[in-house]
Amino acid sequence: MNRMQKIAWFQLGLLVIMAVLSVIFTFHFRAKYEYGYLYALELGAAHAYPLIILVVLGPLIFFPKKKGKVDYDERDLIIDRQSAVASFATYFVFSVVVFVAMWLTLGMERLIPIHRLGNIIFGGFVIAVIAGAVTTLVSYGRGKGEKS
Amino acid sequence: MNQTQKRAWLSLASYVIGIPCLAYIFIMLFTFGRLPDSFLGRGWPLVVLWAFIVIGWICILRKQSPAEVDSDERDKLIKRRAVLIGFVSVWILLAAVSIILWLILGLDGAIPVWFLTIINLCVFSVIALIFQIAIIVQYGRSKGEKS
Repeated sequence: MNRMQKIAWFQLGLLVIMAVLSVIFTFHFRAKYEYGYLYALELGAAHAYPLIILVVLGPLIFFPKKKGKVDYDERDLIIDRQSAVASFATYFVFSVVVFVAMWLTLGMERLIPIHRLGNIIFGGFVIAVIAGAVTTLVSYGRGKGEKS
Repeated sequence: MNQTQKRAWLSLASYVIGIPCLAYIFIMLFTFGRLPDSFLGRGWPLVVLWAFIVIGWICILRKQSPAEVDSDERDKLIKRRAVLIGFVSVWILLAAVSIILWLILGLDGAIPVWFLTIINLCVFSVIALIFQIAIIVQYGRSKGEKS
């Protein structure tokens, strides 16, 4: 397993932990304060937000590049680019779907709180990271299958 | 100049022509509620822009010589870096937009739903511009290193 695969697994693992924590916090807020589902979910996710710092900075801390050592080849470069494009495209599709859904359900002129924009961006980031990590793992897995 | 560079320059030129035209149309529509009856107001600049883009693409797709390659190793590396720069810029820009809106409107502020689409369009236009500039800058830098 090379550095990129380790990073992809690390990010996916952290996002799973984040999802579990969000669900736990959501049920906690529902049970203790009797908030509505959407508000409890927003609060629950907000309490899991700090882990996103580890998703971004973790690869640099736990999987640093070794100085003077070339640990990637031509194939790694292509896979890296593919995963970045997949993340980008997934976020684009996600944002378009969310905004169109909001248009249809709420109407064009309806006001939405500003913190909800932050939540949409955060959700988009999580989805983009998942898409990037999965593309990396699938691309390496496919290459392995073709070799054998 | 190879195909990647040509595409980047064409896109950059399209932006330089297109952004002022679109900005003018938006400002006129939002300020006066209608477009003025002038050369700019009748939408001719957009027709010129599209003609420029189509002719530019035809010129790019036609090879200058049979020996001209579509892309090599260096092009791939430059494109990869440009994609990564664009990808990082998306998140920086979106975070900046959220923070600026918080600062302007306050934490309890609200925005209309249609404004989200405008934010998205603006961010993706800026990203496309950053992508092209990243390509041109990298080619320029590698040219400087060679000489």
